[in-house]
Amino acid sequence: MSTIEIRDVSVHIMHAEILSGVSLDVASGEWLALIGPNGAGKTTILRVIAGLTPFDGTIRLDGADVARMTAKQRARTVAIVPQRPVLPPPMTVFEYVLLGRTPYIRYFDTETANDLAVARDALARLDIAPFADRQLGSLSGGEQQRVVLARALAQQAPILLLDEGTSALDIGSQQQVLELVEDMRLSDGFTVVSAMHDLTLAGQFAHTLALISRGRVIIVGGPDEVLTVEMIREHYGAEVRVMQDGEGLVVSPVRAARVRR
Amino acid sequence: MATITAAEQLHAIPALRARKRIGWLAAGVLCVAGAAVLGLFVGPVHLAPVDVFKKLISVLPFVRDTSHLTATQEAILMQLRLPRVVLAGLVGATLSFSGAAYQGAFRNPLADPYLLGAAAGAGLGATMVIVFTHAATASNLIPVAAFAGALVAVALAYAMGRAGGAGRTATSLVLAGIAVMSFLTAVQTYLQQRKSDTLREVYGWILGRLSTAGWHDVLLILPYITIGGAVILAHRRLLDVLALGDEEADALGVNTRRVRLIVVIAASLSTAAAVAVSGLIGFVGIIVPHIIRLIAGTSYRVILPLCFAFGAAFLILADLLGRTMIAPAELPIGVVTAFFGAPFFAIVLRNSRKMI
Repeated sequence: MSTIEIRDVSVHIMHAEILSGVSLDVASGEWLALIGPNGAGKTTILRVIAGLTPFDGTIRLDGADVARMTAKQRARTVAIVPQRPVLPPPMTVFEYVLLGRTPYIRYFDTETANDLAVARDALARLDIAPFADRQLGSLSGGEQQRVVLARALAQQAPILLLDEGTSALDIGSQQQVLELVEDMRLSDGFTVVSAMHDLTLAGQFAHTLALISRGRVIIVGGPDEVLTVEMIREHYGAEVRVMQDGEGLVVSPVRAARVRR
Repeated sequence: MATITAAEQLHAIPALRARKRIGWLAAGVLCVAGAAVLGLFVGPVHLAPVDVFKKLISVLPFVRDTSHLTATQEAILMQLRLPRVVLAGLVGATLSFSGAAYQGAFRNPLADPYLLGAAAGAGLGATMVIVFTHAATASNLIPVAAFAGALVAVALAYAMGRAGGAGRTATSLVLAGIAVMSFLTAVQTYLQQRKSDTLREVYGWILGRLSTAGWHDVLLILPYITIGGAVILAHRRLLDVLALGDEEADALGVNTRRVRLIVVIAASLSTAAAVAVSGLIGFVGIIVPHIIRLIAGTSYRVILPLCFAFGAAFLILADLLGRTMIAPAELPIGVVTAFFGAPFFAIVLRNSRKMI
């Protein structure tokens, strides 16, 4: 279980301001979804939490300043599932998942029996044990996504960052992956931060949504507060209907011409 | 019939992989042994296998020499064939594991030990000695100049690759290597053309040769190759992590720049030592690691140890062909490695269903 405190974080890349004074809090075991249009800075927020991009400001993970953590300490605290993970086609599923144990292995050492057991457990929990020996290049998109999650699970880091990992998947696979993340959150107490494009899924899975636009946090709150027609029109430039159903909000795009009529 | 559950299958994987690995290593050791035996027995002077064996084991402590070799035969075995086989094995192993290390460090299947300009630098060093010094001193100076040239070229490429804005990426290093390689090759060609009477000698060196191999060559390169090989082997797990790309490897707590620098230094040092005594033997550093990938898997834990064995065997056999095919003349070993290696690689590539 781990909390995340982001205080007044700014990121400049080649003189361009990518993030500006971002402050966010994520409680232990909570799921925060970062939403916003393309280029808003969602991925950069995930990258600064993971220590992959230099920043000004302060980020604390469970009270510890991320800037003072060693690379290994950070990797034991934060697991990131990137937007387009590198899946070397010839590598086997088991070899790939085992790489999740890297932060626990000393420089010249090799995996212990415990590392192998953790990797095996991750495969079994994500139902990919039967193809442990298959090459990554032979897997479908949905299977690959499970394998990437299994690697993150094997990393045993209390904070899980997901970068729009489901956007290339079909609707069924998207749901399955998010349900798996929810299961992992509930059983292992992960704190989850995910950058998401699908607003309906974001509203249904995350406890809190943060709308990011042009490198700034516009609003943080529950789905009812953030997913409004006005907010989405202003920041996405999109016309939508927001409907309430039994499971939560449904955000449905509407053709702009029809709305005007 | 008993059915195997998914969990049982999964449990069996690491053990299975370890067994496979040991099997391949045993095959590699047998290959080296077989190639070395052929390299020692085949030649214009017949040596009785029993006597060769007795002579070889007599170098061990407390073992008496009971062979019936004449003094000449003994000299042929111990001063000509044995150092040549050992040197071919060492150079083959070095080029293979250095090639694999470069491919891993740069995540580039086309990388070879000469990627950052080691060959061009060594070529320029050797050419300068051949062109500017007397023939009598040249043979002693060539290895030193080639070694220094290779290291200077790699250092230049590394410095240039890091100097750029995005200079820490593998791609910028590769591009810097191409620039250095082109520049040094141009200088080398210019020098070579200025003194066309040395063309044959320069060309002979560039195509690779082991014909003058002696124990002094073996002793000269052994420390570099031992240290370089040990360092690369120690990084085999981290080279597997680099396969995920710098960013994901960084996210797993690996200092990718440091790992790449150490591996490149070790591979370049070993390659420089190898080319210093053998000239520029091409193709080994690409073909051997890829054949191993196709038949035994893509993890560097498998590839690197097998590169030592199969690389050594490959070059011992190539050298054997080079010195016997058109005897008493010799084919340059670089020609043999490409002429026989390329079709063999094509066959393996065609018959393999694995991805590399």
